[in-house]
Amino acid sequence: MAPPSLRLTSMAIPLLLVLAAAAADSPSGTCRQTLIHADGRIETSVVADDGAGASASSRSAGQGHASSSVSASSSSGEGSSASSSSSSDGTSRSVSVTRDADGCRIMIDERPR
Amino acid sequence: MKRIWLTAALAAALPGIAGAQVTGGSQSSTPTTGDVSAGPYGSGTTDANSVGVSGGGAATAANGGTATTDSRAKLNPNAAHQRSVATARDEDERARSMTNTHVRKDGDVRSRSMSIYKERGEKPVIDRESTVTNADGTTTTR
Repeated sequence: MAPPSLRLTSMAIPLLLVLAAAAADSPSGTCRQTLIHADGRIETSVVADDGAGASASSRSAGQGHASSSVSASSSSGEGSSASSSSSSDGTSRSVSVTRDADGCRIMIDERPR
Repeated sequence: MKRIWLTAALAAALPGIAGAQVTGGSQSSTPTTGDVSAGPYGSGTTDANSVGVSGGGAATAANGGTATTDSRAKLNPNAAHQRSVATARDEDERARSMTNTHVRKDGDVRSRSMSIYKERGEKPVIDRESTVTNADGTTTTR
């Protein structure tokens, strides 16, 4: 399994206090990302694959705005892939976690929209 | 207030052909006239070789209110399920919307959505929608 990659694109100065990113190829095959912002907003994305199936969950909470999305697909011969993403300010930051045959991929996108 | 979108992609174009891709889904939203709103969406697709779901939600609360969204998807080689819930609230308004989508491999795509908006002192506004897109491409909406 390829090692997880973390890409941080920062066109705006981030306001977050704590960035806790853990993407490990654990025995259960779980990728997890938690983003805690300075103002208390929390975004969590989890993607898991146990070999027989895949799951993805995403949760976002805060004041003003929250959004989250997930997707999961399985194709004969190609295995399964799943991803989840979340944003809690609606304008400038999103976190996505993707797991597929290549392993875990975590992306924090802070480009202004 | 409510927008429902349905697609019976290739299945509609190629009715009766086994293995044609079937895609369907739904979305709903609460009224946008207040300070809070919530709107999730969900969709699914399937054919003879694959199954997939996607969805999400957004919630907005003005005037210092709180917003939360929770989206989940789960699948095995033969079926997939997706669920999204979006909630927004402030001192005197609450909005909550949810969507469930279920797909069986080379079968139906079933999706239902519900939204509730409640303003203090007023009756709740409830909106429900259920759609089923069959393997032959036909869609039933209730």
